[in-house]
Amino acid sequence: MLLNSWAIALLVSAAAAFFLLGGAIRTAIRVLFSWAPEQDTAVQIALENETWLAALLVRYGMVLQLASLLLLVLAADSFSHILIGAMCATGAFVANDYGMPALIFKLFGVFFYGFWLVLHRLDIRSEFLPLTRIKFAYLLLLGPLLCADITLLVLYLINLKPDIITSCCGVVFAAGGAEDGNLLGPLPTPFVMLLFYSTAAALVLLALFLQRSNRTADPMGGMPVANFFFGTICLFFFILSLVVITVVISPYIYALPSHRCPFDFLRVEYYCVGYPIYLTLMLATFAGISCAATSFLQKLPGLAIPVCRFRQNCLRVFLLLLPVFLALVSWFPINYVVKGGE
Amino acid sequence: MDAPYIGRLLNILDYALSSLRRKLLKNFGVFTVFSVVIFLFSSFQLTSRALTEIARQTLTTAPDITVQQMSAGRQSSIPLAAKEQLAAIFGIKKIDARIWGYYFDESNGANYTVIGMDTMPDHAPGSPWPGLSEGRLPTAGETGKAVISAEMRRQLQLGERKFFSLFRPDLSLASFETVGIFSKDSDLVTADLILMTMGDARNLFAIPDGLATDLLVQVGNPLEIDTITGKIRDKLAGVRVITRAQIQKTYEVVFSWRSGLGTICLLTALVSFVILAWDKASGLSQSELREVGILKILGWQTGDIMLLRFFESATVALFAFLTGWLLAWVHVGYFAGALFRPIFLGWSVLRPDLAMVPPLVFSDVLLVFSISVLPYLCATAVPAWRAAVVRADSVL
Amino acid sequence: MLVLAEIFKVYNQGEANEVIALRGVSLSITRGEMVCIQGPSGSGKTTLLSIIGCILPPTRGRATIGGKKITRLPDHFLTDYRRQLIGFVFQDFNMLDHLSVLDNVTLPLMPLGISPKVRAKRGDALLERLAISHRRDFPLRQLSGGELQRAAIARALINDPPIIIADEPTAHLDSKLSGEVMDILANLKNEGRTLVVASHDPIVAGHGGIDRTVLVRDGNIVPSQGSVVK
Ligand SMILES: Nc1ncnc2c1ncn2[C@@H]1O[C@H](COP(=O)(O)OP(=O)(O)OP(=O)(O)O)[C@@H](O)[C@H]1O
Ligand SMILES: [Mg+2]
Repeated sequence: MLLNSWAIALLVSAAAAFFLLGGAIRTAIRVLFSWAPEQDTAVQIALENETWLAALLVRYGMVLQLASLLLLVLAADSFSHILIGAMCATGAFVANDYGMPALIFKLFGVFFYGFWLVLHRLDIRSEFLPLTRIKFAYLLLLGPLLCADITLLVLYLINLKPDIITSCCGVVFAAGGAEDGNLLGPLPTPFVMLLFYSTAAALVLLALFLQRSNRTADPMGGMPVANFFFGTICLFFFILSLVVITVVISPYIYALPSHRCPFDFLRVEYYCVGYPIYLTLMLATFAGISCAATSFLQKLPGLAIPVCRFRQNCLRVFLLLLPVFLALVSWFPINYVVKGGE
Repeated sequence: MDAPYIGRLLNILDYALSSLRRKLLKNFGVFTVFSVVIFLFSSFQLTSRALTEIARQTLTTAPDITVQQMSAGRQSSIPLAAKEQLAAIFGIKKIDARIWGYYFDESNGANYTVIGMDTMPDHAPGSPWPGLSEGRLPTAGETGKAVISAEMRRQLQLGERKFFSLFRPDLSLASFETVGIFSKDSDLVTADLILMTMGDARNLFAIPDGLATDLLVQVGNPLEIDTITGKIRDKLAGVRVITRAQIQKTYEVVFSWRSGLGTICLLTALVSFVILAWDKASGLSQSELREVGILKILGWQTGDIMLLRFFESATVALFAFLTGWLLAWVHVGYFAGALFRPIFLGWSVLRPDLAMVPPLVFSDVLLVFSISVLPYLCATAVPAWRAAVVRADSVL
Repeated sequence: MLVLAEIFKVYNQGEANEVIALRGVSLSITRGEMVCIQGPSGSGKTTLLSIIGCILPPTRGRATIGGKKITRLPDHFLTDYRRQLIGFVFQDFNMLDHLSVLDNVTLPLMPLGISPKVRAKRGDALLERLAISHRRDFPLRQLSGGELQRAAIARALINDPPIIIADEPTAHLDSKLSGEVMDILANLKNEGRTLVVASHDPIVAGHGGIDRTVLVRDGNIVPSQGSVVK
């Protein structure tokens, strides 16, 4: 289905991202080979200028990645009108083997671009530019990621045929029960919800603790264990949230027990409530993981204060957005229970 | 380095706007070309959206289920006896037989669709039908009465006359009187349609008694359509069963495919435009070099200049986007997408004057935006950077 | 206020058109001093001022400006120091023709995120001080040379910088105006600012406000006549 307007839009953004990242990687290779900050040569001056270009290109790439993530979801929504058997975007994604991986790569791609920008932002805060080599080495890793992303996208679109019969969200994300292949596995819903809320509580407590220790402890210290836990739990919570939203929360949003679609509530019919839900979740996760990951950078020359300040901001964002997310997500089931479950 | 974030953005935006105002003429070219490209893109998208919408509306009057006989993988006539077999299925409200086919008019090279039915779906024979702008439908048993569209009257050059003739397979003439005219709203499917009684259609195509082209099934409860479809398949061997939803999907596939093809053609335009924009933005004139040099020596950072450039390009792009989109809206809504209709409805010589009201859908806006504005902004990244790294000491 | 030790500046290092513009300049200027830098054309005056003014990073050597180390510093840090510490007055005024006098004067405040109101207030105060507030909204090309240079001085002062650097500030002015401009600059010294002026104009070197004249030749300070204290 490469001739569909949505497919073309996705391919255009993929091509644009390819060129942007290609340019940035060219700079990365040159930096890795001939970066010499102590010199005042013409080559070094040109390289320093080029690092600004690379940062600009990655920033545009990140925006593009976000846009194409949104495009992919909306495209799947539009494909579902064409594909037989698909009533919502889920059906379009599972119409062949590449849909879900393409979506997951796009989603995590946003995070990886974001981390690069965090590295860059911290790097230029230190007069020693201590992260320049690291950030450009990391940039090289984004190349294969983007290639995989584009390959999956193209495979997905090529293999998407209007006459294929696919299944729908009610089947794909069926909860509980004995059917195999459902997302929750054998776990009962109350247990999962308990896990969900206790993980959230643990995250808030950990964040508060880190905020305190970050304020009082000497900036060179860092707390590797606490930070490692915090980052890991953040990631776990992100994935758990996606599952919980899909399987447990979404039927309450639709007020239909069998409708389990993580995409439909982006639609206007449901007041676009999906956008704030996903945005808060993604931003909170990003802030949390960034905070944890940057704790290791505090010891680098000139970075103690910038990193400390950055992490404090991250924790603030995290502690602000996580409750908002929890409130948004909990509102639908609570409302249902309070109204007496009609 | 820690300037107030919003204040800095506003100030730089302010500067960007004033410098755009100064270079109005220079930016006007880019603005115009870009508006045209976006106008074309969004016209395409809106036309296809509006056509899909019309098809959806028209199809709501179509039968729930259509049953056709297949033989050797092709459609063949279905015996009317099948009607009795189906009548026993619980949940079926009504079954009508229908004869339909294509009639090629050699005098003007057009292909008409002929449908012969004795009762119209959901309507008692002889009663006024919402699909008609004037007149009535032919009733069962009548001969030589037909309903056609206003467009078809023009094609047949009927003028004020009511009668027209069609050739039977043996080249003898069958004469018809127009008793009704289809309303414009359904032009998408009725523009090339001649509706008559079963008997007349049988006569025109020389189809033997006891056979029909397909059976139209009305179902009491729409939720049961899938179940009933299955039952029909079980009862009748070798039939094809088509539901309304499937026909709808077919329309969407056709339209989205066509709009995709159009998009590809327009992409070429966009690419050449992006190259033009790049060309224009990348060459820095002497005065621009001096301006950036002065700004930098006064303490503007590389990032500030890049932001300035971004605001300039983004403003031009946004205005072009709004202009192009509004023009496309007018084009599709008021001029019925006059430029693109031949592409979308190109399979027939008939070109219905459809009244299209494109719905405003966020995803359409995003689609056109991401096909046009995003690539353009990406293309401006390198020129923006090139301008931003002008060295401060260049003005000393 | 300002200490340079063994400063080298090489343009286009590693290329065919390499130029060694400064060869081991050592210079120290105390707070509130007004120093005149003299030397023949091509001797490296502008290069020296660019380094003092945090426009160019030195290739080699040690330097601190206003207590901040400026050697081996990335460009955006230099720019940041320049915003805080330095006010520049140029030979060609370097004003933007399409902006009004006030907008030109407040230009350095824009990327600092200062609101238009505050910018106008600070600009007005300076225009008032330099006696050109009647030209506030004039387009630049209607200004005379003297007014232009006053506006340029106002712009250099908009950050309230401790150091003012002037590269040939009197080159396009007649002798009367040159004297006026030098009077204004000398007045700034009395506010406790440090001034560095480069010029081969005798009016500049001979002005009463100059505390010291430094002679530059072939990229270095001439020791015999250098640092003549008047
Ligand atoms: N951007 C540059 N690239 C290469 N060489 C340069 C550059 N700027 C200056 N030079 C060279 O460095 C030397 C010193 O130049 P500088 O401008 O500092 O001299 P100056 O004393 O200011 O001269 P003038 O009195 O003519 O202004 C000169 O030989 C000049 O050609
Ligand atoms: Mg000079």
